[in-house]
Amino acid sequence: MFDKILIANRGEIALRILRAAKELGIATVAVHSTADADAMHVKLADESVCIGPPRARDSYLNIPALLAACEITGAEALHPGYGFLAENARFAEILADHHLVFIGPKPEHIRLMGDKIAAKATAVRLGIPCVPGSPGAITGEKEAAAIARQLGFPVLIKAAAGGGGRGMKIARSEGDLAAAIATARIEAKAAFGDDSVYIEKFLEKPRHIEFQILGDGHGKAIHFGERDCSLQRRHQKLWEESPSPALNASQRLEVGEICAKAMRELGYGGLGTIEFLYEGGKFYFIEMNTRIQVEHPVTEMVTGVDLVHEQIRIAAGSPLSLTQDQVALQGHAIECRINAENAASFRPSPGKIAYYHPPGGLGVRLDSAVYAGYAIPPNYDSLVGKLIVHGRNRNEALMRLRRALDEFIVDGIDTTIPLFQTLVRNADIQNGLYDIHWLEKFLALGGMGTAGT
Amino acid sequence: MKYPEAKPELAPDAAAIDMDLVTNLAQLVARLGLSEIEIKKGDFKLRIAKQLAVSAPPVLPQVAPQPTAKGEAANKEAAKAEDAGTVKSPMVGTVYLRASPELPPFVETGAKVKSGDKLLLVEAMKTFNEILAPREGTVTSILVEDGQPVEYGQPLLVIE
Repeated sequence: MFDKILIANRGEIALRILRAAKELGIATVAVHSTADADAMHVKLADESVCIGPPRARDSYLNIPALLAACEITGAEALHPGYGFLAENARFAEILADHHLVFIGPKPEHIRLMGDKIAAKATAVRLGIPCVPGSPGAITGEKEAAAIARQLGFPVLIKAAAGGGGRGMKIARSEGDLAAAIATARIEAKAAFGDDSVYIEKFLEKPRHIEFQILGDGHGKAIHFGERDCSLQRRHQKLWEESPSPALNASQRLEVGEICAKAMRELGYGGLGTIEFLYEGGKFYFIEMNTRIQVEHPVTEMVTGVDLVHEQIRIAAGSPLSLTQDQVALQGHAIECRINAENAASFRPSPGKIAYYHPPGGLGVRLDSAVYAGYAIPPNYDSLVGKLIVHGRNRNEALMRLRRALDEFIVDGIDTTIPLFQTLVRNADIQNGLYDIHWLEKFLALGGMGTAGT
Repeated sequence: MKYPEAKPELAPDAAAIDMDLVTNLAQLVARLGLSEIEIKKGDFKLRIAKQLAVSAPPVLPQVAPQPTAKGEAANKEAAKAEDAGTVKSPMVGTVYLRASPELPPFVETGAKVKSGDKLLLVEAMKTFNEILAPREGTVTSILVEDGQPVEYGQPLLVIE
């Protein structure tokens, strides 16, 4: 087991990693930009190193600074969290060259799943059901048109180097196709440095359902069931739950096992999430994320497993600490991502938190790094915290969530708590009747009143 | 650590300000690592607050497996160093005051330097980076020791 881990991230996930490391008796090093000198995890860490000015490029993405920080503190392993360098295969390789352990999967798998075309080809090879689409990157207009006709419109043009909802354009008819492809290429080149695109059938009302897996890097892998993350705004997940209101036990076991088996064949090590669109009773692979995800607490609450502990253990060379039979989903968990934004207009609201009272009680968990008097820096994401509730069934979880939201006070900045207070009282949400377009439609139809007021 | 001039809150009919009192309180705040102190005497109320600057004091990392002394030591050294002539580390690494163990240090306290003179080295991953004097002046204090780990923004020495 490691003696010392460097936490190469910030905010709530840095605090999350710190907590897990402390519980495992591992010394912690917090690195931070000058803007994060007052961060909670920096205060709690055994050591801290300022690695640069506020700009992420000069601090959290600054590989030489991170390496130097490992060197001067003697950290043997580095946890990248999510975002930043978490899915940077080159960074993982550089760490290995310096005899540092990257707490994450093997660089080759990060690279494989980072290329969305290669990821899909791999999924097909491993027997994971995929969205019908072009076999690879499209090479010409005629070929694209033929594929699109065969799939049936509408189709989606996706950037091979994209992911996370970015770099996608819809073409609703053959007339739109050429323009959609051209725009997608330009945007992909600008955003990802690679203009390769592929085509997929566009699903009209799917749900976003993802499976959490864990591999030991030596051919063993298990799954922890699914999370339903359909409630999204601009491709950002806001509300996640497990289990999905749409699935039954046999679907869960079937797809979960397909995912776990695929990871065994790959020899995958560490945590990963396989994301699907689910429509008409069928699953369609969209991508795999080779890191811990923001919404991991939802799975932790229903399984009782500390996923960050598992990540660290696997990275240290331990075997899986449980078998598939020992994984049981109990009850229901819901997570709300609370941002420092106006709940109606979503206008960012960085600034100082004057008064803070977090909710508590049975089955209530808050993963947040803020505190009274803390000023949310404007340089990074606006996540205030994640409120997660667990109940013995979905109704109990909903009631608990309603109660917890109502007692949660964050004064001095705007937060999206009112949005969730509205959602938890909404009939569709209560009945689990939503898809990936539901939230944006709800907002567009004035669900939170007039935006901008 | 930057802290502002004392900003006393005066009662509307307050007469002269006892500057000794203000100075003493400000020093108390700094010395004890407080963020604010307030005294009240009848209608007279005086509050001295250290502004939480955007760039808070850099915390000294320690190689020894002990919790870092985040309080007094950091405040004291940082307080000394927030003068205009402070040369801060532009990177994370290990600072060396001399080119090699047998050689004398590049500069010592009292040394006169010109703009561009070599002051010290910061090493990271076997690469040595020269820290050069940004201006002409005299080295009034050296705030780090040979072989000490330093972080971004850490005050290294002061040139006046």
